[in-house]
Amino acid sequence: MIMNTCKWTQKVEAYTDGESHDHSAVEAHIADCALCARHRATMLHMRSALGALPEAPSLSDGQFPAFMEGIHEGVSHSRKRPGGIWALMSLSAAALVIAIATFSMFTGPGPVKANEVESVSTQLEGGTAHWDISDDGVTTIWISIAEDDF
Amino acid sequence: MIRCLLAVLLAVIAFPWSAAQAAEGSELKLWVVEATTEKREKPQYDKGLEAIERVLSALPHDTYRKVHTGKHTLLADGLTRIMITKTYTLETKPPVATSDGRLRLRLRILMKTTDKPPKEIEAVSTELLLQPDKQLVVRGLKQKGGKELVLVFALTVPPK
Repeated sequence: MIMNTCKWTQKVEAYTDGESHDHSAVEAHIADCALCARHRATMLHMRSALGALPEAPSLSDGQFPAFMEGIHEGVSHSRKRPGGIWALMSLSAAALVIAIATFSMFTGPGPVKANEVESVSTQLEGGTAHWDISDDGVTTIWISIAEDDF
Repeated sequence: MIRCLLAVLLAVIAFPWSAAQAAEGSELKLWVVEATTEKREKPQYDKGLEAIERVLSALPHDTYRKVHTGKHTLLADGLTRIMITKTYTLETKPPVATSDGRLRLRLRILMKTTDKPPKEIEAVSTELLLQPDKQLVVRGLKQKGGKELVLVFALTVPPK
């Protein structure tokens, strides 16, 4: 944009805004001054562009109390969260996970128990069944029977 | 969150059930040894018994001859019978894994009698809880000539 350095600029702007009292002198100047003619054309163009924008919504005086009432209600009564069974189940799941995690942390994998003989028997005549578990975990089952019985 | 809850509940419910299932693909390592006392200064072990020498050394004999060694996969859905000698047969079902990491094993060693016709009686019948890979010794099974039959077992379960 070229800056208008003509001393008639303010008068041209007042004329364009409809505020000039010396219409004929300004019009005569615009006809002779290319700078002022371009400046006026630019102003008219900008004005028409601004006029094409949609008008911002505005509240009428009658609508204003209802608008404020809505704001007060929103502030004093916040939106309810989804509740009921879903919230209960979510809480239960969280509690269960925490309980299991805690249990796992504090108990850990239990020590593997030693060997254990639950039952041992023999049908050999005169035979007796015994068992023993050594310190190193070897389980021994033995049958004692008289040599002569075999 | 709901999915997490369901997953956790399923895991909690399924764990004891799965732990009590038969340990499929269980393998029974078996050493069958004939033990005698021949008044040796130093115990003598046949080749192939190296893995159980320490166990055998606790027995009151000085000569240990290998009769059989082998690995036997236990049938997942039935009874496994292994003929140990002409007289003795081992009979076992697949072990059941317990929640504490042990294996519940029931085994019988059946002896063929000299009756005619021969019958089978239980020389040993036992039910035990074993740690995997820990050895089990069954001894006292008499053979003719004062020999004693010693069986050494080790149970392994393949990792899942």
